[in-house]
Amino acid sequence: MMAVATLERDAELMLRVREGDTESFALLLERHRSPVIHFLFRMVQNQSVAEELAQEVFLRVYRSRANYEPTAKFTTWLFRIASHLALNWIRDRRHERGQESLDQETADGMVRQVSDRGMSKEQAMVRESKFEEIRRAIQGLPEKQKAAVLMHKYEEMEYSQIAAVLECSESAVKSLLFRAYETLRARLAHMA
Amino acid sequence: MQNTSFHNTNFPDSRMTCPLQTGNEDVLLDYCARALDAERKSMLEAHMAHCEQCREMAKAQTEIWAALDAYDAEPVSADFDRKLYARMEEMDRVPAWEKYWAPVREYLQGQPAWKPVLSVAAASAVLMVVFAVSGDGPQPLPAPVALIDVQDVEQAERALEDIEMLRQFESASAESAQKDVL
Repeated sequence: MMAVATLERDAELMLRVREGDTESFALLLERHRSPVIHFLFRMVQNQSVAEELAQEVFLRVYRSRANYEPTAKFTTWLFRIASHLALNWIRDRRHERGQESLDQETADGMVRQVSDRGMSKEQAMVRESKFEEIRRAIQGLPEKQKAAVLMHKYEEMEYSQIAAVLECSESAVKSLLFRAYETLRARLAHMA
Repeated sequence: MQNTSFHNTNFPDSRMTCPLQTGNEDVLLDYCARALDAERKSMLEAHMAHCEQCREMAKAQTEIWAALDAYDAEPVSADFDRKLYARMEEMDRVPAWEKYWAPVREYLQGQPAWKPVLSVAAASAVLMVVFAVSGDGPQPLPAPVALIDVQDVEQAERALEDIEMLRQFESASAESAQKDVL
């Protein structure tokens, strides 16, 4: 176990949660709520499912508080739970729906509408179109590559952390990322 | 930000080896993600000044990196925390045994390979209970029975009858020969 003096802030908070401090849990939730939900949204492409899975992530953290030991970085643990839940959800859904196409997903309203945020109608349409192209390009990646890109690009996680989340080596993560970005470069070349 | 994991061994001197030719493509990714420190960044830029392949790749990757920014996420629902705390309270109310069983159940639910094994194990357990209650375990196989060939028996009986007839015939012949002599 790490020395308490060198513990990261999240681990300190989690140890307090273990002792029954609910305010520390609220702080952890405040720090990680958005990154976890955003990661899950980009993984499953559905906001309500992402929030439901995120609830499960934090419930598991809360449920495990009594046995918590700061043996790994807190965010690694958090994203490992999140990515397992997302990958399981994707696998189950694919199994249920028999590998339906992305077009079908769009038709089913699985994609959120891009909010206008004060843009003109034209700007909103351009933005929505770009969003949709990127969504499709990312969605088309193999699941592990997708998870790696989302953690690398949007959560700014280190290679070692991504490797710990995906339970593979750092060199495997680099390879996954390089292949993923090559695919994205090919698919989104016209946007560059 | 990102761990560059790119050591000075890749740069034995001020002239770096080509990342694309030495399997260090992550250096270019880090460059586009602005995760390289000043020294490494300047060394890579010096290399790219005469390596068209790296220059082109870095340019394309930087553009894609920027394009991916458009994939933003939705704001989180206002009642997310309220729902979560309600579920946490509910969880605190469940019996102690359920708290221990729930993670096991979740694990098993996420392991499809276990499902058939569990089904077989459950079926075996039910069968064992049924046998134990009824007292009739599986019946032992009957002892092997010696099979006698019926044709062999009939043939033997016919042979004995033939011998007996022959013996009676010989006996009768001997008596008539004695009478002739007398």
